[in-house]
Amino acid sequence: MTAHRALAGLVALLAAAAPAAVGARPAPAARAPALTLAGWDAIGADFSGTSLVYGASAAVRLPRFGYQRTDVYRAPLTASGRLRGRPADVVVVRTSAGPMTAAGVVGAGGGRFVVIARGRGFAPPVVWCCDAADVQSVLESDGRSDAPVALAAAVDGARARILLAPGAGAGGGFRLVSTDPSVAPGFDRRDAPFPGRPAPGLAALAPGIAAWADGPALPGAPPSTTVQVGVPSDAGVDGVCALPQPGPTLAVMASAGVVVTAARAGAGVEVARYDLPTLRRRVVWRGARLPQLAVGGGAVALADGRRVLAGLRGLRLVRRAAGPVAAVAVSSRLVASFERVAAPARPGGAPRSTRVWLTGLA
Amino acid sequence: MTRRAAALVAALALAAGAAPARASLVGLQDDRIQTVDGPELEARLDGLAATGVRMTRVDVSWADVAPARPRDPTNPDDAAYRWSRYDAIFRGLAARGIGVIADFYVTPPWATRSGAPNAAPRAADGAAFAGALGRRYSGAWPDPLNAGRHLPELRRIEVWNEPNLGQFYFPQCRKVGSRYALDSPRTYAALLAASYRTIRAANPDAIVVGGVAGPVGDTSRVCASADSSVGTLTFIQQLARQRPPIDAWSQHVYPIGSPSRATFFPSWSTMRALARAVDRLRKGIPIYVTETGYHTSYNRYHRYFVSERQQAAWLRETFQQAARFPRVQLTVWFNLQDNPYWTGGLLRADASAKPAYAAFAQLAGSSPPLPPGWAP
Repeated sequence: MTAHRALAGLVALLAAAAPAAVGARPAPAARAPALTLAGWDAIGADFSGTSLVYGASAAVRLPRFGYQRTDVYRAPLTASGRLRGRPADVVVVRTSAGPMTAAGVVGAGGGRFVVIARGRGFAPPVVWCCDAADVQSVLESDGRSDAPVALAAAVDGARARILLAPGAGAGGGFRLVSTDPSVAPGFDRRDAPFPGRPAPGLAALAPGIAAWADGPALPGAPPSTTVQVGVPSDAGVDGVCALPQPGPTLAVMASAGVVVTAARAGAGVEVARYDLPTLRRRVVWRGARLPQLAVGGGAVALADGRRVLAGLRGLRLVRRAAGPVAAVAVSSRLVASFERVAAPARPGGAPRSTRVWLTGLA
Repeated sequence: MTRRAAALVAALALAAGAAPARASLVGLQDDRIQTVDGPELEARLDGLAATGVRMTRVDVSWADVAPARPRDPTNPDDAAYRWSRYDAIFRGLAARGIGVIADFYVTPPWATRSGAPNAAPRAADGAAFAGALGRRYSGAWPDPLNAGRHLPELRRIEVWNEPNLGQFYFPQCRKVGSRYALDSPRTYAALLAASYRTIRAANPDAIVVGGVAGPVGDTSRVCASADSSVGTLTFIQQLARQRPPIDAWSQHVYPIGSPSRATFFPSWSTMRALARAVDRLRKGIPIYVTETGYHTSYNRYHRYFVSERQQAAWLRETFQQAARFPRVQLTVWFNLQDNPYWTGGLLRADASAKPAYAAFAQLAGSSPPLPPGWAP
């Protein structure tokens, strides 16, 4: 807590001196992409220790049939932020239950992560990966048509926490489920009421943080203009405080010590960061549309069109992307941008690829 | 076709061990049946019968029946054997009019150096147990609980379960110099051949079922390590070189995609290719699909899942596909009920019914009675 306070004070001083979202020059750029992925898959990504973990989701179309897939890869990096060996496909989810969308990938340190394999038409499985033998643990997987839907998940100390919304047509409220991810499914599982009713995309869990904005009170109405932040535990969420937003909330993200929100502000969008423990609002970006967002390692990154901005305090331009940015991830040292280009990953391959660039924050 | 030609075809078919064309029998396995006793077992047997199913598959755990090394492993009455649970299962199934195909696997610690349950056994040890199983359930063995009566007959015995997967049969490959070479077809062929002899010696009417192959088609990375899985086609091809005796081939089929459209091997669209491969072992022998199904949620053993509604629709389609192949005489849905590691059940883990339960019950209820040789 002392470190948090000192950091918060320092951050406040620096923030006062630095204008938000200003950056004249990109940081020193890598000369080549770290990775080239075939196709334009939907991407969810995060850093975990010295690894980049990313999920790639797409439809697989074969001559007579097709199915949906999400593959989550772990790409180990060197100390200098280069790729070390080939990424390993560590979690593989296949379904015909409905289209899969970008997975929610949340790093848990040491290359570990939690993934919500999202899609439409089914309750997304939540998987923790992995133990020392690279064995995954399925934290949530329910095939019922009215099964609870995972909105957010993260590892918080020794516990994995999952925020579950009631399934379509099912009664009951939102729940916070806590479990030990390294043991058999269902072991030591605690289930507590969650003090809100967030919509998809408006909830985040991180070590010591539950952050959310309530969804529309009525169909068609805008979501809440207040973000709530509390401390999750096996018993629920305590110490909830409200963070007023300038307009309806569009996104909520969190990582250790930081909450990031995006909200409508007039005709545009405003992105703000809140550092624990003060939770003082600092606007880091203003723009016309909701950008791709990431938070991690005390840093925030976003992609505004082809401009990739990131920083531990204010944001600055770190890269001009070669194409539309599908996703960003950020750590205290690196920004990963997943950029869609119309060029095959390999000679003779499909005409589209996604290039993954790793750029230093310094 | 003239009457004489038809008679000739029928005679040839019988000579080759092929059954006359008819729809595949509808089976359902309950993998918890061999884990419970007493009233709980009776309840599960009632639950199975309530689906209307007339054929089931039972996993016989060799390690459970023979926790210690028998002095005379070919003698079912050896003091080391613990048959009472299986006596109750087979008695209970027969009483409910449900026919059985049984597979045996799970190596007892005494039969292996590693003590691992998936260790490939010495062929002689495995075959001795197969012989004891065949003898006890030959239909002529006295029932220890009912004087003057006999234990039911197990007409069909599968030798092992998924011996092409390292998870159930290890090693798949052996190190030769600096590389791994495929070995499981050779050791499995020895186990199958030896078991064939002991089972047939115990019951000349028994049908010895080989393969029981796990649903792996890809062989591109075979023998990357000792526990690599081996694709079915490679496994059959290598097995055929050893020429083991066999009466029927058992295959597990878990398609990715609908039964009528999936094209990965093994799936229903590749059944003819499978049949051609099986012909290399013994021409025209029946094929039993002793496991098939669709999972309704993700688990790490089966990473492909469908919705519960799809599962019900594709269950119907599975048996429609099976009916297209007269050589596929039996198709067993796996499993009756979900558990955390397997979500292909007709019932959820809390015993509530998925839509597939009603679909299966309708199908099983409208199936004709078991033909002779299948009925208990």
